[in-house]
Amino acid sequence: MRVLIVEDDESIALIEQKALEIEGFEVRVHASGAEAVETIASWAPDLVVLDQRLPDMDGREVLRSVRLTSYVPVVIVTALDDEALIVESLDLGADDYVVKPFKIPELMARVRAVLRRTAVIPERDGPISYRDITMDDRARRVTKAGVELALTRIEFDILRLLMRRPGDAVDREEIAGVIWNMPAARIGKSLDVHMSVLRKKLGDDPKAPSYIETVRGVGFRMGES
Amino acid sequence: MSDPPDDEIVTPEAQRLHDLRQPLSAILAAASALQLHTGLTEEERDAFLNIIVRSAERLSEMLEEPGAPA
Repeated sequence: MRVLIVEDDESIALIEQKALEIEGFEVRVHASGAEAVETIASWAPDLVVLDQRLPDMDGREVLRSVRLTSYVPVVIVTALDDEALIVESLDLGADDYVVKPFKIPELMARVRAVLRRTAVIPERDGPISYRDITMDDRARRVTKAGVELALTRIEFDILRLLMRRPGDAVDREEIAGVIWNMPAARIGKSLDVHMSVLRKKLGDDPKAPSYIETVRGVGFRMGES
Repeated sequence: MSDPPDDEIVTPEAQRLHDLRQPLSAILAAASALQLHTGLTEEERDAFLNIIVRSAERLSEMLEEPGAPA
């Protein structure tokens, strides 16, 4: 698999490159945003590790340009631990972020997690439906009876995981791993809270949910196999 | 470094923290890579150790500059 590193600090770029190569990735490195945008178009990497501040462009500008033509997964690396900046980058289409200073195992884990999330659902797949719910992956849009639902990123990702596996009981460990890259025990009530809100948005009856069923002792199931 | 967009205000303190994080990040990344990957070649290990030393020196210089925290 191909990874493009966009980083103007040579030392950090070298360390990231070696670590990724050891994990078996084919790696290219660019120090400028403009070169990165060109290479994403011509080389089609499977993932981009993008520094937030580059000599020629802000990371958000790079993201905006890239998202016009590509759904390549992007992990942002930022030295500004600024919540608003991180939220904006995620809203612009970044898939995850790492704040400097970081340890290499953390970066590698995030790269693997993002690749897992995007590998489960190949981007070429077309829209999928269950009853009156339709999901368009590419547009990241979900409609119920033709009306668009306002889902958060996590709600969307959970729903996508379930809709792509119709009839399968998807266990909590798998959901926690794919969505949060953590064991289920580490995420506390997060999954239940998100599931409750997601069901509400889908119009499910909280006492007897029919869109997303609870599989006792396992996890959740949607649709029929 | 690129200038932040017009609607973003980066305070001098935030800028300073940003600048300090660069060498610190290189140190932590290089050291953790050395810990994680025991199979690095001698050349790669030397390169990573050099990064740690150079970055620590840079950090030390930055902390000596006027305006650095006491």
